[in-house]
Amino acid sequence: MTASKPYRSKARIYFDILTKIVEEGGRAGPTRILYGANLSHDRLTKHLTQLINLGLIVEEKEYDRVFYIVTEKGMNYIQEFRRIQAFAKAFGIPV
Amino acid sequence: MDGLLLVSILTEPVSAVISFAIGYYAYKSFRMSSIRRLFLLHLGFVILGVALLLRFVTFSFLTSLRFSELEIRSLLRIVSMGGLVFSSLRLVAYVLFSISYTSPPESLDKDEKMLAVLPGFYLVFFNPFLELMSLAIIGYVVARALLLFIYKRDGNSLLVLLGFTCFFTSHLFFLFTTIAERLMFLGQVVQLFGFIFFLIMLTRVTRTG
Repeated sequence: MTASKPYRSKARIYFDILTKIVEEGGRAGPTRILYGANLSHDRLTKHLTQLINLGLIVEEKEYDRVFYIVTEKGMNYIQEFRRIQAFAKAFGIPV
Repeated sequence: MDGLLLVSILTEPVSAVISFAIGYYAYKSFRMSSIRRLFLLHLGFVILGVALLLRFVTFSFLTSLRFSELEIRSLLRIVSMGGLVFSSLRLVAYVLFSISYTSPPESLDKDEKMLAVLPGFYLVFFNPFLELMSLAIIGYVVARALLLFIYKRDGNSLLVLLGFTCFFTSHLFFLFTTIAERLMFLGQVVQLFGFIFFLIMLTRVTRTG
């Protein structure tokens, strides 16, 4: 029997991706994010596109490499997520 | 009007405002995370706030009408019904809190005569049977909050535990209000303290980040 993976909300996945980019100095390539956020390539691509559409990150191309940078809106998202996480945690609700 | 009664009544809008603030933050959290338990928490605090506000508005309105003692007594049935609605709403809120804790993850002259009967009138809001039910449900919530605090050892969890414990204690006082009316005042104050604990938690949370 395999242990089931704990459920991660979409907001949590966004937070993990954004935090990973910030940990990498505010700029990270897809491979780094992939391992840090613990996602499959397909799912990461989908989430990165959504994050760009939401204005939380921007894509930057350097020669043949792609980097993702967290925007100010993205930084606010991280801060807001930490607040709601602390609120939910006080009531024993995992986010 | 008796000073204790006045203080008791005034605790209601303050408690309601705090309840709405927590409900709002729970909704904000739900919007961001789409976690159902946060929505239940939001509903619980909003319903509790509405119940507290309804009792305050109803009682203030009745007080402002300056009815005679006889007129007040004739309204007793309506007020009893209002009390039932209030207690039921609060029960619904507590049920929602308990669900949010158990779901899987994912609020003499003519005038003097009127004022003299007001405390008794106010007591009609308290239905012993519903108070007992509230006590049982909130007792369960307190037990869950206690377990959570033991497990997490987190300051905010402690504040939530203290908040719900105050609600539990206030219901103990409300339950025995028929024996000593002063207990109603104590219950209201303890309930207000419960909301203050929640407000401190909310203030701490909004400073995170």
